Amino acid sequence: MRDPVDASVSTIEPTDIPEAARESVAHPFRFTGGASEYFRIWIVNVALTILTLGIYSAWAKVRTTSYFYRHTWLDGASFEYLGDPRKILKGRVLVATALIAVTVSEKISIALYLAFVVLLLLATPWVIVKAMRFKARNSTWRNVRFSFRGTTKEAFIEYFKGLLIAVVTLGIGAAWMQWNITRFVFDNATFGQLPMRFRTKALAFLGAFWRAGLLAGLIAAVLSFGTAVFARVSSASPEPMVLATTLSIGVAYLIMFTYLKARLANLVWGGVEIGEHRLESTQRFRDVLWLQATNLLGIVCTLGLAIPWAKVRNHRYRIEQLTLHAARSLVVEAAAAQEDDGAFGDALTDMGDFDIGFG
Amino acid sequence: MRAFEATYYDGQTSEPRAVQVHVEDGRTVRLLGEGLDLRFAREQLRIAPRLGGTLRSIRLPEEQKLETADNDAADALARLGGEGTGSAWLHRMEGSWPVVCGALVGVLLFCGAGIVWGIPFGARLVAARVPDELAHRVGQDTLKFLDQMLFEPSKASADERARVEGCLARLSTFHSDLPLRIELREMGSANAFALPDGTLVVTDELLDLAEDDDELAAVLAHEIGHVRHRHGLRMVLESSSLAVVLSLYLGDVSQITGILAALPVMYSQAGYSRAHESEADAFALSLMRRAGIAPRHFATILRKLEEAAGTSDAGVRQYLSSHPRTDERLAAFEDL
Repeated sequence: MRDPVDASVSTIEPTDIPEAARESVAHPFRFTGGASEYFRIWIVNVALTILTLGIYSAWAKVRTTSYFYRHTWLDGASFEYLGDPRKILKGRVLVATALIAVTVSEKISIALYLAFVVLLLLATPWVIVKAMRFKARNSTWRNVRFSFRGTTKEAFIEYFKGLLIAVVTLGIGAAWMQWNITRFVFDNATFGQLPMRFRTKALAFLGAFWRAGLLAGLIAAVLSFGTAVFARVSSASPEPMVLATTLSIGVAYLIMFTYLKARLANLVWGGVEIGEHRLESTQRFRDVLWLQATNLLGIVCTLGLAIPWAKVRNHRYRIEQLTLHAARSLVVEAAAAQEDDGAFGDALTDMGDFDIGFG
Repeated sequence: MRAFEATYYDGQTSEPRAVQVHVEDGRTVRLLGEGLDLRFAREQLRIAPRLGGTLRSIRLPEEQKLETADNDAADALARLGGEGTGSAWLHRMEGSWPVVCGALVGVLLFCGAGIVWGIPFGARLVAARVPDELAHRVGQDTLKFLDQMLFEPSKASADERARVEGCLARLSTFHSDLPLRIELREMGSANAFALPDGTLVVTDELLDLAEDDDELAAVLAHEIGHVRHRHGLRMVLESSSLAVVLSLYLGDVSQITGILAALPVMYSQAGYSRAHESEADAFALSLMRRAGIAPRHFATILRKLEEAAGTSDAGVRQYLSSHPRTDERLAAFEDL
């Protein structure tokens, strides 16, 4: 019934699949959250965050994440988020302090400022590891925690390997870099005692980026041709022309990134193995495009009040296109709990909508 | 209190087990299920806050856990004391439409006030603290950029040049602390610009349009108003902070919507810019009075600019779109 973005999406060759997985049971993911219920939680969160001058934002984050986790169901059980708002608040205060320090240092001395920037760049792998640990550790299903066991040293090596390749190949390697980070994240994650693995090939990522680039080029060519013809025919004044050009850029941007988003979601989630179980994601480009376009329209028309509705719709689509192909019984042994460390990395990645991994 | 249904997890595996939860003599919680009979003291339970209609978890010692859909029973258990009783008011707020509507109105008012007053206020504070060297650098860079993109070298004669300098001299005596200077350029339409460093760019076409010296001085007075109030810097600060706030806020949904929604902000600059124009007009009015120039000259040159725009002159049209309606502006000058 469904046709995925592309038939080649399933990069796992039949021979790659472990023997047991061939007779798997499909468990579709379900999302039961609703826009009306979430709207009320959201507006109270926003109001309290304003009233407390931002302090409540840590509790708001936990409440929001919990809401989406709790409404995500697999095999009759829902996910749970256990993040501690006090730790998140501490992380956010640290991040804010660091940002202020960087800004102030620019005024004091350029050398100090540059030192801070280099330090931040060097700290990126550490931040990723911290954020992944916090997020994984606080995500559970049936009372079994995820965990992330990658070390800062490994992250450091992978990160700079990727950066070097991206620079040497003049950006073409950026696709490889993203693939490598995703692989690093999943290969070092576990669910209880089940190790996770990432099986998508780097070439598939490269293909997605390449096709997105081609699509963008095509759209840009068509739109600039259209704009040029329009300009010649109507000899219009510059204002509508500027508007038309801006709109064209917006449309091209929307289409290209939506395509990439849908493709990458399938490649990322479709490549994840949890023990002998395997995930599948079947997002379609046109569905995601329709979703993004209508969400944008709704948000603009309601001056932002449709944000909860848009978030619920996005989430529902993402979740309901996911299926777990379980090799055998889903009973999983819990692992010894990892020590819960601070939420600095989590707070920092929150700022940049840095979203790989769980949830 | 009554018994309720729940799912029990032992903390070792993901295996769910159906149990009935009984509370005995208000202190002991007893779990009864197939081959299962466990007792806990009420103080050992940590009950999660109620969140919409979602499942509620009750954490037990040693990573054991209960999950129940019976939120009312979990609330009753929470009322017996111990941890997890503090946040019931949150759920009550979220469930009450009057509170939700109140929060909605409050948030809308706050955002509206932030955009209309907060951002311009902040921009004014920051712009006033920008050091002169930085303003100078911004001004020079802007002029360099405009020279590449928009301007041609001026073809004005030495006489014309002297005429503008003379007009400026009549006004600058009242603001000797400002480093005002004139740059002449050609750009295909009558216009004048104020740069943050005090440079006033006047186009050849404006020199032709403003036949009377007083009319030229009126335009300069208006532009000096922009310099005095640091409108150039304020505009940059206002539109960029609005764009950042919006894209952070909307980035919550997805990066794509965040960036796309920031696009219309470029067009919303007009709102802030109109406020600046009115401020510059008021400044021009008072400066012209002090310099002994009749305010009606401002009205005359504004009409001329509008007429020139009527002949589909692109540059002036753009200039006017970010300015208040001409008849509104004229009213202030003609009533005198």
